[in-house]
Amino acid sequence: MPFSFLVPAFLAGLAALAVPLLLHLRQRDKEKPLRFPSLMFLRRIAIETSHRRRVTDLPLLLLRALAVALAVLAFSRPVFQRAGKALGAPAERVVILAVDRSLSMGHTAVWPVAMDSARAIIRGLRAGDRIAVIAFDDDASVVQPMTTDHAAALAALGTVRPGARGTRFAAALRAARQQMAAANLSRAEVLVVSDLQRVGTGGLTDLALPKGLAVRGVVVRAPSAANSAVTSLAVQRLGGGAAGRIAVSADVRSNALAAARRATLTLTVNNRTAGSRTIDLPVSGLRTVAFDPVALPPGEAQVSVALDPDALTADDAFHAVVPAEASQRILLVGAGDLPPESTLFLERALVIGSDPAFVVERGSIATLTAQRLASVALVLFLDLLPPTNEAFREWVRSGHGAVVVAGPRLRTVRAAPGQLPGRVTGEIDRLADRGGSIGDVALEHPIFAPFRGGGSAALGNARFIRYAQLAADSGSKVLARFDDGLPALMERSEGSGRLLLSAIPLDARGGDFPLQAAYLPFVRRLALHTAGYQPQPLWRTTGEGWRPSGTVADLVIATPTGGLVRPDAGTTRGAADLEALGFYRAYRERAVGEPIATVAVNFPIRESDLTSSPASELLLGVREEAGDPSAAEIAPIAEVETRQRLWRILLLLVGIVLVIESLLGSRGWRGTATRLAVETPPGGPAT
Amino acid sequence: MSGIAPAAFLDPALLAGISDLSLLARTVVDGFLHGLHRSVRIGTSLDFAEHRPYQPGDDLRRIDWRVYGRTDRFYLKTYEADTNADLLLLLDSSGSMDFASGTLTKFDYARYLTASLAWLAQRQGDRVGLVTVRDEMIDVVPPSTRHLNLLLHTVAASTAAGEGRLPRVVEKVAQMRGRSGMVVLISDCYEEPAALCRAVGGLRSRGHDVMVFHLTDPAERELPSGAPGTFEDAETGIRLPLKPEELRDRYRQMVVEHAAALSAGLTAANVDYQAVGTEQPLDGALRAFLDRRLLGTKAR
Repeated sequence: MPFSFLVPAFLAGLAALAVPLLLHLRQRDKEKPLRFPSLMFLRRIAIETSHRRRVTDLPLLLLRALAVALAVLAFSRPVFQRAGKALGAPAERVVILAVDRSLSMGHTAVWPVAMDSARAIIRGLRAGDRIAVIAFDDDASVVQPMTTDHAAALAALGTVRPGARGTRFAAALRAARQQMAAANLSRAEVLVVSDLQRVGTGGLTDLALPKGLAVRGVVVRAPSAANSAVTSLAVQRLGGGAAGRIAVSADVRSNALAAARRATLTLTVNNRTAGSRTIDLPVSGLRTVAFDPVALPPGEAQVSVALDPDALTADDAFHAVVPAEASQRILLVGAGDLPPESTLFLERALVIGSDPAFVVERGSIATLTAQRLASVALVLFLDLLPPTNEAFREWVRSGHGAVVVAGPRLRTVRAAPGQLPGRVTGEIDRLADRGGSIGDVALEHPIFAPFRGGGSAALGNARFIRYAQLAADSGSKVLARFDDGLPALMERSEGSGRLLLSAIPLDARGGDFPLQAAYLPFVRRLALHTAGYQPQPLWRTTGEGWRPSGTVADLVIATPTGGLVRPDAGTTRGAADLEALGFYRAYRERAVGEPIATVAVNFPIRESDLTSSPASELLLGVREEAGDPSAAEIAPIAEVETRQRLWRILLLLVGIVLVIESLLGSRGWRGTATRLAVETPPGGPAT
Repeated sequence: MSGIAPAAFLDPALLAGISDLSLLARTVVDGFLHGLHRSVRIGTSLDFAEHRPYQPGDDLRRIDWRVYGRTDRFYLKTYEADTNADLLLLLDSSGSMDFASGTLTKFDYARYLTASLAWLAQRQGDRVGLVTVRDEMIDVVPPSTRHLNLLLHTVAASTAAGEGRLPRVVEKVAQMRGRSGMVVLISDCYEEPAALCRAVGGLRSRGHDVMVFHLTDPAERELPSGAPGTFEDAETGIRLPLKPEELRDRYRQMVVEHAAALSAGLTAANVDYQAVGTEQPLDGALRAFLDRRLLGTKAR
């Protein structure tokens, strides 16, 4: 039975065989010498050096050398090998086949070659070789765990299809590492069958692979990286109501084309062709194509723009869902004697916008019941304290918001602790210096997003004659200050919602702010932010999860491929994993009638870039895990122990040899070597 | 001592049991003298020996004027039994003397012999002195009739150690000794025969009667038998890995040749040479001393 060594480095210890020899020769001189009156005569006798250095006790020397050799072998941890296998250095191949199933692999010239290559790899394995099959895009899944059944691996490979997701090699290598660890492998070979898109190398620098994991790329790239794709859609709503229209424009990106070519773009709205454009695509570059406005059907509209198919068809269409026009209800609450003209500018500014449009209502503190609050997204308190009841607080915490605009009235009212983000401590009259202005603004805040990049100057144009003097409480954040340093706007988070206190007069009585250009965007962004409005994306990307708003109980989701998904009611991540390109529709209970929600799913934009990287760059940045790969064992512990027990036998032999050496060295003439024995010649002393 | 023959006390193995060196010497000498057939006690009277012609430099007081009257020539009278001679014992106390294959080291034997000779000489009225030698003179007891106890004490206290340079020390002794007498060297003579003979001959040329006792241990006449081992020189500490079995014949031959060279060289210098084995009784050495002592009584 052949064997190998777990720690072959210890075999260098065989050099220690010289030690017994040296000791033997040295020890002879170290023995207790025989004291002799004079060596005068003996030194005259020619004594050959070689004679002096000759091994004088070969059996003992051999025994000592044997003991050393056996000890060295024992510490080298010899292990028996199973038939054709060596522990830590398997004779059979262990292959982890990672097949790229990303969108780019759907290229007509790539996928068949990739499959043929993968099959050839499996068929090229010898009996006993082990293989696992991993399919990966930006995620990886094991379609065939480690097995010696190559037919099963071929069958599993047959189930792999190119998808619509992006490429991330790190996911494949991480899955391969897990396979290796799960099978207790010390060494494995990862064969990545892929077009090796350059965009897929992200995340490799965070990856560490074990030493025994060898990665090779099996490149199946297309003859040319030429590709064109629709990479984005822009939808602009024109008008509202039944006469509303949408203007659709699409970005078309071409890359590495052999020559500029003419292509046709087709616009589809709710599965009906709504327009068509013929364009000339550049060899490489981006082209934005605008379609003629089309009538917006009631409800949400499913918009698609498709390009003439090329070799990679999956990225030739782009989808979007234009939601039905939504409106946000805003409730203005003021004191009973609040004159209507005092809110004229504010109301006009709020209702002038669209997408979403604001619907302004007026109310009073007394009407702020839970039902009333549930119908509005934002409450504006004009010189009035918000209510302190639990219904209002809970409404704010659930994600809504309120803005309190401080005026002369609040100066005389004492707010309850926590009722406001700050305190109104007085009123500032800037009439003497022709009014104050906004001095410091937190431009990073979403409210002031329109004023970034130099737009903040527009805010500074407004002059404020009188405004409330505020003092921020702890936990509140001052978003803007007047030029005298007093807080102008402050915010405090309440659960998922928010409460804002403003000293900025929103009417014309305190200043000329409503007459400035900054007033409109400020008021709109203030309302959107406080209401917690999040616009619905026109599309999502493959690989994301989707959960329709509201309850997910009894949901049925129809996928673009015609399948139905019934997600569990307790799902929190999402009702469906968005894997296919097109429109996912969610229904309640049964997939009939109008869907309760629809989402468009597109491919990752970068996936349409077919530029590949050399196979040698696949592992750039990948770190090697510390540790000895031989530490991982293939066999179960008991078997490993059985095959390693030779070291115990060797150590036992060392003991036996040393005992024999001791006995041999202390018996016979060896044990009396230094005793003096005098042979007196007959005739007395020599005279 | 009634049950033991006096001569038995000449056995060195038996003498090893006597710690008192004075007692040991007296026992040895008495036992030795008891075994002689006739008394060899030397008289203290001045017995005429012969006349010899006058030579320039002779003491005029020793001229026999009666003979001058009869013959008209100057003759000097010479006498026997110059009994108040000096006896100087040179005891080799180098490290090589500290060797024994039996119960008695060479140095022990040498001490017994030294003490016995001193006791014997004292009994004959000689002045006895001692010099223990290594590479230098270690202890010096000037010859005197009253120094026996001091001599015995010095011998008892001396030890054998260190490296010896016998010829050099002997030459020094020869230079120091102005008064002629008898010099007895007791050593294992691990020196070059020529050098030692030349040094001892220097003593002889200064009018001393010289006697050399060459002590040897049985184990150094033969090499110790046994396995290969490391031999260490008792004086220099030099170590030599040896296989005695292979060297014994050549070693034995070299020892014999060394002894022969010493004997020849010393005899040629009119020096008595006596090889003594430490396994031998002391009487042989004492007898040789007495023989030499009798010859040395001839006055010049």
